[in-house]
Amino acid sequence: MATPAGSHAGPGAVVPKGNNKRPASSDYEDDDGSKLFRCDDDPSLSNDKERFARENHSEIERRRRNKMTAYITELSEMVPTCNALARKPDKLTILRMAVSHMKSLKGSGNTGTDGTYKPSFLTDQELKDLILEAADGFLFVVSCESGRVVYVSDSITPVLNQAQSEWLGSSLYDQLHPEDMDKLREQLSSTENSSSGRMLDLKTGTVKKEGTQSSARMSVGARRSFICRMRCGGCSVEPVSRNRLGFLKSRNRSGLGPAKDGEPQYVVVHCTGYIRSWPPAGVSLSEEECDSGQGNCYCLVAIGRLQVERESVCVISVPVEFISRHNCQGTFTFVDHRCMATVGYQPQELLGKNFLELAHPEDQGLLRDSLQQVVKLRGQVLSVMFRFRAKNREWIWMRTSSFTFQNPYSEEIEYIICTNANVNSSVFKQVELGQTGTGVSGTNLDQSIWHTDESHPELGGYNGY
Amino acid sequence: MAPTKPSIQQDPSRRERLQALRKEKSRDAARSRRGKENFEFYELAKMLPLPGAITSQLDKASIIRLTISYLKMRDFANQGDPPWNLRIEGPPPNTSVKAIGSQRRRSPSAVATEIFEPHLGSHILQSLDGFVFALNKEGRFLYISETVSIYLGLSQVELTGSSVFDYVHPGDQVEMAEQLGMKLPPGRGLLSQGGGAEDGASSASSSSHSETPEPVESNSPGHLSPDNSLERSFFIRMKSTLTKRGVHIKSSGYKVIHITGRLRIRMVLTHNRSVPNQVMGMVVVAHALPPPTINEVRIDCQMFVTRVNMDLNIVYCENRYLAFLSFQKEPQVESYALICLQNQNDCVIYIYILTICSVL
Repeated sequence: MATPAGSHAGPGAVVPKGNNKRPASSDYEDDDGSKLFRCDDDPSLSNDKERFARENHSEIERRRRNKMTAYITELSEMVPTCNALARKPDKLTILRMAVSHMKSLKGSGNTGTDGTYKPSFLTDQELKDLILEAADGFLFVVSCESGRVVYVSDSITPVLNQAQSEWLGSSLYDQLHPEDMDKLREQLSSTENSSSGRMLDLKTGTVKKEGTQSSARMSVGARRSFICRMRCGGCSVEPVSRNRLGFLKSRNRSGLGPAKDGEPQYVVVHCTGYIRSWPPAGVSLSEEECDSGQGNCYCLVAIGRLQVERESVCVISVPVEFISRHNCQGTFTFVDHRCMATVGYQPQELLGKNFLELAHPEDQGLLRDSLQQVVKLRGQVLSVMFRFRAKNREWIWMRTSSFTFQNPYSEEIEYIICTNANVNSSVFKQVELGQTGTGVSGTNLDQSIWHTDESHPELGGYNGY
Repeated sequence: MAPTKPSIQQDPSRRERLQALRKEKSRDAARSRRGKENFEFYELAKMLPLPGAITSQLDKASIIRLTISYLKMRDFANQGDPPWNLRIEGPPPNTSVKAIGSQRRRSPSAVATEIFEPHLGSHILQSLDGFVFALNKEGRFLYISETVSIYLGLSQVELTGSSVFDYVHPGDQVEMAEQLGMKLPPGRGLLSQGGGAEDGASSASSSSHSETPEPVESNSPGHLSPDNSLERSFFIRMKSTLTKRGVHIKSSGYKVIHITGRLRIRMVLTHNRSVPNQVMGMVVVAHALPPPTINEVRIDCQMFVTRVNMDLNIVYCENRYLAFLSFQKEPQVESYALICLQNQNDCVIYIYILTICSVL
């Protein structure tokens, strides 16, 4: 929601209320208990300041009231009993209905099986489903000493097609690709080999031996993050729409290629988590679980999530663009330094030149027309695509969005501002142009759509968004 | 006090008294109404799933904002495809303590289930190396995990119910909108008149007068391509109070965030192809790049270090790579790399690349 200009407190901020000590003047306003500072309390202010403060104050008040009204309306739409009424009820009724609706919902809510109240916007089940949906993630807990899976959530079934019972109690080493077992051992081990402790220092870019970190390595709360290949199972998944592997296979996205005959299918899984002590105090386990015998064990609590190759990641495009200013004839009067990266010229090489000189002859007519159009449009944005001669004498496709900037007092046009961006030429070749009644649109390779924001059929060219 | 003769017009002082009386009554009525409303507001606050210490400090706008988000979130969870809160598929594994024979080894797991399942939510959030959120189709946060404060320094209370566009860099708002399948209004984004365009892409202020972006509904089927790719993965800059601008100034900067997630569509009972999918919003796991406190990266036994120049040509590579890559066959390599670029505007761009090699 928009924050009213000038308000000092963000949403949720603590502002002193002074409920019982409000001066009499405030009672005339239906102000829902305003928390704003009362300037008229201060006798040292002059009348002018006071009046200004009050006017500004009422402006803020009005905006706050409008926001509150909008919120109350929105609330009434979410509460079923409010919706059912023929007329919109008053504010007090809406609030009361909302309270009782919340009570009816929360009644079954967040109380854990051990009786503790654990307030949360999402229940455990919902959070589990959210992680599954957003990242194909499942939770698992593995003992560091033995590698035995102590716990795994049922989300593992849609992700790896493994039954929960298949994993529970089994060794995690059996579930990974044989070549990844060393990596897992390293992640779970509490002792460090001097040969394997290497660190990359991000600031200097050097590799060094692990120093004092090793003692902190296996301690409660220490974090782990690694990638491994996990074995897929053959469990059927209901509902079918949840079967991630089926989806991955059909789109060839597991990244490891098809499995050879007789060998199990593996998928790449990111694991991130933290170390916890295991078993917790007061709980005894069979000897199998804790080889060291004295409860000095640790376990790793981790989320495993699928590494899925996503289409749009294939092209990581950082748009290269620069800003320029022009007079009404199109001459560069200002160019920002990013033009070097975009078209190869230094800013001073462009200043004083007309951009029409640097445009492809076939596009010059279009550009001349758009220049006239921009001036006529007076502040509205116009986009155009054309070929620009780069420093290396190649033609590059540019998309330029321009608008005029007027002097607010004289209404004269001061200059035209352009944002010029490189358009990936191969993307452009794939563009399909469609003519609709209100302009031109097209589809990029990554399925995003560009379209005009104005309809200018007379320009006859490509208008980009 | 009943009005007495003579008539009201003839007695100005009585008129004044009556007016004063009316004003006092309306004041009392207003005060009483406000009192009742205040009471309901605080009842509503108590119903919010937040600790009492926080709910008692909330202002009224926030109470309503959070309540609306909570109710919308229920809708999002129950009406989307697939609905959350379903029963577990299939019978649960045998975690009985009295199991005999080969199933005896499951008894520690029974303990584990009792320990981990009640707090599954907090284990999930703690294990993740990022934070989680759900957006509705207009870009409002219906839910965001508390862990956002670790990575961005922002509070769950502030963000829930707010628009994501208030927290995304103006230069990336267009992309955010496109990924959600919606159109930005003129007030948002870099190309707004007189807005950030003058100063280039590094303008940090977001317009506070922007209207709610309009969601693009089913008349733009291009946003959900026929093979129904709901997956999303992209990079945006989000506001962070943890990044410092300038040496000693701790002000709001931006962090590069890798968004991975899925669009959530409304559950329909018939799978009629001619009915376009209705997008309810997006569920996301977000990672901050690089992790906030890490200056060193641990190199495990399957990692090797390379150095690349600005053209992404490899200038140095450890010999260890030979153990992992074989060029006799076609290796399937998916690469993401960690590169830190700094341009003249002191704007740091990270492209996170992680190299995974698999040899077939």
